Amino acid sequence: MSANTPARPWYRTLRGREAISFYLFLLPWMIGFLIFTLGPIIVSFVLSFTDYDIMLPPSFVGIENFRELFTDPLFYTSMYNTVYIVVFAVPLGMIVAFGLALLLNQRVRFMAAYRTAYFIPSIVPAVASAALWLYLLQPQWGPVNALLDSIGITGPGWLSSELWSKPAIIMLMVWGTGGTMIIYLAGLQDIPQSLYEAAEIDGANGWHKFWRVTLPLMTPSIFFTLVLGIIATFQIFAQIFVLTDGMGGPQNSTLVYMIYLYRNGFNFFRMGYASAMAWVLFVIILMLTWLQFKGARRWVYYESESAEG
Amino acid sequence: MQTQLSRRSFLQLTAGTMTVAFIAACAPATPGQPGSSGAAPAAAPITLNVWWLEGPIWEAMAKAYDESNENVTVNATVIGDIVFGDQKYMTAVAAGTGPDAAVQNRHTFLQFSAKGLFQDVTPWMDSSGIKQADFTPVQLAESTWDGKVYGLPLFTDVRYLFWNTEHFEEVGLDPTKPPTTWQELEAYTEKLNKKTGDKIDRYGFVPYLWGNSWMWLYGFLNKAPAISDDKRTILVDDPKWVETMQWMVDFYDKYVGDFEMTNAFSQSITSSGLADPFHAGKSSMSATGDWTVGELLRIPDIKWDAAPMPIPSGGEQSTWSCGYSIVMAPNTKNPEAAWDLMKWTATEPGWEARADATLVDVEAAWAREQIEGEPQFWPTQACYIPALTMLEEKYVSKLGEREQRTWKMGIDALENWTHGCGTEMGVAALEYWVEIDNAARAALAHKMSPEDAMLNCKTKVQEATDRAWAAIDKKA
Repeated sequence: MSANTPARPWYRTLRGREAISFYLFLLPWMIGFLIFTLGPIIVSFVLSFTDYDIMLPPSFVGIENFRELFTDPLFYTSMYNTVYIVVFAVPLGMIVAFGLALLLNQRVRFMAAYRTAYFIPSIVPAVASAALWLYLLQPQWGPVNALLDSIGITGPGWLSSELWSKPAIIMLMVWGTGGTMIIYLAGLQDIPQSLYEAAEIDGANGWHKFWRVTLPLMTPSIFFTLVLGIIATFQIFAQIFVLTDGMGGPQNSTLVYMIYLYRNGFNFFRMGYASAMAWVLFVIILMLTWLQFKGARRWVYYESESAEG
Repeated sequence: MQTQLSRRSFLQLTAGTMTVAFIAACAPATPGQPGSSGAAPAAAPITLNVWWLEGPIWEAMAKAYDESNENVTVNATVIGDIVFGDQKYMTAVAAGTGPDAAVQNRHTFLQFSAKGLFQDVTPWMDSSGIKQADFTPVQLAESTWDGKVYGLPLFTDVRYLFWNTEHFEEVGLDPTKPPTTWQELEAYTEKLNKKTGDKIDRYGFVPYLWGNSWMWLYGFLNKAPAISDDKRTILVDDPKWVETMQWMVDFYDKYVGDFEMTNAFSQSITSSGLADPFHAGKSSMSATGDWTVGELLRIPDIKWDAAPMPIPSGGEQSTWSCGYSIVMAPNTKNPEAAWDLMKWTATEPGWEARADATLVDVEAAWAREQIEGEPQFWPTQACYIPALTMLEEKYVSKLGEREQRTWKMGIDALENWTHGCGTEMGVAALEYWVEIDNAARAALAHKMSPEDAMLNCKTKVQEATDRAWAAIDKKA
């Protein structure tokens, strides 16, 4: 008998027993994942090729849903609205969060209280924050317009104005930028003080320190929040649903992609069409994420990589 | 000192705990939760799962039913917002966990009954002595599909013109003579608009955006057809609709002003708790529903009157009605008990319980808001004619002459000149509702001409209707 052949079955070996424990511990999560996440994903993919109104069994229609989607004017409208919000809300949110993180990284008394105060908006539930902003944005006697009035500007109709409804949504999203701020805060605190000291010795002023030390070393966090921010903002739904009663705002100006998807699926009972919409969004977000990763090599600097030049 | 568990015992303990937890989580639902039904034998007590509206009035009705029926307990759950169709009910019924009975809106009634979401109650109706002729005709028609009755209409409403008599007197108009034609309406509005410079402080009349009329009221007054008799063709591109829309656009241009500002103005009033700018004295006339009488009775500062809507030349006296019906779910295990509850709710016993409970609610409101005078109760319109008569004799007779006149006008409307929202919208009701609203807003904001807006609406709704009919025909 060679030394490598065990005298007992595989499940009695140390490695075998460890493998069994591994899979047993994984099992609850795995079952949940298969039933509640992967299963529906597969079903949704299959449904996107059918006509399904819930009451009758699905009937296969091939790529008809996709073809209809690309000739549907509201598809383009909802995509435009979503991209508009992403293009403004994500960078603005990141810049504001970064600024806040810089401010909150000082050694000042009651810093914990300030950090908490800026973080709280991001943990308010989506529906509650939407209801709050519904009140804030009241054109006639809401606080926002009252504030503008006090400096002499007549506030617009916000959520009842075609032009200003998306900016209103963007305001709401930037207000909830606390989570991003916390990530940047952690990133800032990771930067070794020795780098700043070395820079000072070399004669760097505040601006140089920021531009040459802080920012490059923050690029991993920035990249992370950029990718996640885009993925999340493309799927924005709850706030807009509450703010516009599910209608998508004056003249479809806040009809974002997910609201249109919900309308098709649950108001018009076209589950197949809605599933097709979901998969198209998935592909779009996937492509954008891939593009970002490709571009990352140019501007994201990971300290652990060896410096070049 | 810590005891060491051997690997084996640890794994056994973990597996045992997880199994117990798993079984506990998957235990069958305890009786009383939506989705479970009571035990089957007739003599055993039945728990009826009913999804209806929320509030003390409905709770009182559930209690009254329990008391009158020793075998059955009503387990009421709130059905939520069902004005634009009900996802909760639909998905529950499709999954087989629906209630026994539920309240449903009549807009989407045809759409839902065609999908088999309601159970045919005609056999029960016939055998229980409830006559179809005892229901208001339009409301019964829109609870009927393919000759079968799918639910009992519960309540309804009608829309009239309300006006502020003090404002009329202020500008020299006779407060007892409302406008009766669209031309008079325009003339009155111009007189009643109160301006400072170019800005309107008090609106004479804001059609469509304010009150509760939508575009339907004006279309029906102008004899514009909404749908073909066989419910397969959408007729919203008819010249009469375009004419109505054009009139609306012109009215806004001449007498109302900027569409967005008016929209914003009304939004802010609505969300500050007042129902309508009319209630705040910010508009002199309003086209809204009869329920407004109950609200106005609580605001003694507003002196008002009501009359049927003014009619355009070539038009006809008209209004439209909406409301809820009570239905039986297809997979109920207690059809007899569910039917009994439906019958009770829709006929006199249910209406009396409802009226008693509402009276209590009204008295509480009077006390809470410290309104002068006796609490005045304005009933909601029932669809069951004997119940309507009961409400009139018992409650409306206690109100003033103006209220009694308005009630009688409502009965006349229900019997002779109202249109049912469910009947007029067909099997793609939600799409029709959304698209005609979009068309109106596009035209009023001058983004599209009325013809284009109505044509666009027709195209979209026709597509949706065709699709819905394809599914129905396939099922048949």
